[in-house]
Amino acid sequence: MTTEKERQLRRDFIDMADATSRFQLEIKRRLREIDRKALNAQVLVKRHGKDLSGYGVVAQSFREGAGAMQEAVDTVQEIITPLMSGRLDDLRAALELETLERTQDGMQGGTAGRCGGLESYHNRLEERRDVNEHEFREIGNSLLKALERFEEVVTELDYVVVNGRIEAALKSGSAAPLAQVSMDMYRAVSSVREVLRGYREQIERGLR
Amino acid sequence: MKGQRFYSQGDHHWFVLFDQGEQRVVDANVYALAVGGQTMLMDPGGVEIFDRVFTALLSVLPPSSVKAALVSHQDPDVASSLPLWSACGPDILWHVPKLWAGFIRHYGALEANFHEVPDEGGDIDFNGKRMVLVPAHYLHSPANFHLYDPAARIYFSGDVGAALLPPGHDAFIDRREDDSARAFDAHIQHAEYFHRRWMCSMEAKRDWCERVSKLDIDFLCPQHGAIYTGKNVGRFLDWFADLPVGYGNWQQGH
Repeated sequence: MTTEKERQLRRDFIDMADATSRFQLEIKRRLREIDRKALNAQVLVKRHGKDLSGYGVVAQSFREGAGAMQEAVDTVQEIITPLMSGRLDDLRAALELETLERTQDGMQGGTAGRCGGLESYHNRLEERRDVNEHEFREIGNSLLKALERFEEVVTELDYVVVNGRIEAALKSGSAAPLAQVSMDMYRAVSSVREVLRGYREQIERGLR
Repeated sequence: MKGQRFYSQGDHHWFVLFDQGEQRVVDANVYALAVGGQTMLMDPGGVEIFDRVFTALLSVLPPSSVKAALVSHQDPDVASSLPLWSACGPDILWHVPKLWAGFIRHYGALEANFHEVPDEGGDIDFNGKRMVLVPAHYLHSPANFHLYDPAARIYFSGDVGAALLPPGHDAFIDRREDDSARAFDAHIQHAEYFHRRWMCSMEAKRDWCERVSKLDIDFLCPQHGAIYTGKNVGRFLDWFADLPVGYGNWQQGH
């Protein structure tokens, strides 16, 4: 019989898995967008030559920032896989434990005592669940650290974006497309920050 | 294991989860049909690859969107993960062959919500889209269903069309020329033994080929191996129609 505590654990896991899925899909989409906008900025600088030479540094930093974000995503992804696998192994152990407990309960009526082999299997499953729980917390904390590092990368890029907007404001003539690309970049980076914040909060809830 | 979208029209999508990477069990594909934010899995797979399927699914769809699943037949590579999926989604509706329902519950999901599909198959509604459960009995299992999505022209063919491919294979029979005869000829060598050995009835095969060749199919999606597209769907149906299978035929060429 599945206990209410166990059912809640499963619901929490699915919430975390959903959040992970949304995070992966959203981040992939938004990083593609940032990379495209960074490329647009570089094209713009090339097209306007000397007029926008000051902005060239900014455009280059956009691209480097996009690259650093991709690295941060890869690190996060490397941690997500074992986190999910660990949770799924725990689910499997929980189901095995339930089946075993049903079997043991059934045997109580018909036999004098519990089967020693099953008893020891029961203990092993419980130990496996303890280990899983410990590892889940360890990996979960590593994930939080990786997400913090990701947020730092976003903050660095945010700084570049603000500089870009200032640079665009100082230019005359060809400033309109520059202002537009800077604004687009600002929005894209802000949306990444939002996605990150939402995911971090979900992981923190899962670890409580 | 990777997730790849191969059909998309509005809010109607198909994904394949493939190349499971665990070589101790037979390699199996899992397909996910998503309509309006709800997902149906085709042959959700074995217990030993559940975590791989689940994490591959995460990369394309949220797991809570899984509302239904088709279990084409009773085999462990098809359905032994059922209790795990059921624990994640207690309300999932399982379309299972009526003949096998009591057997499939032996995997350990007494409370799972079963729709027992009668032998004649028929239409089901999935979030407003019509899907057809096509009987494919004795190919190889005595009670066996495929799923046809008429709007997407996608046919999930279970073990029919299956090929035993090496690890790292692509989702389609050839990465660049997936519609070509050359790609088909190269691929079908990996499918021949499987069909000779597992498909048990010439009569069932002829009947199936006749029925399925009348359908409009752009993608024929087997549970093992790679997807046939375009002209290679017809090439496969012709090839299968001519192939001797069943008792007395399976040892030919081996």
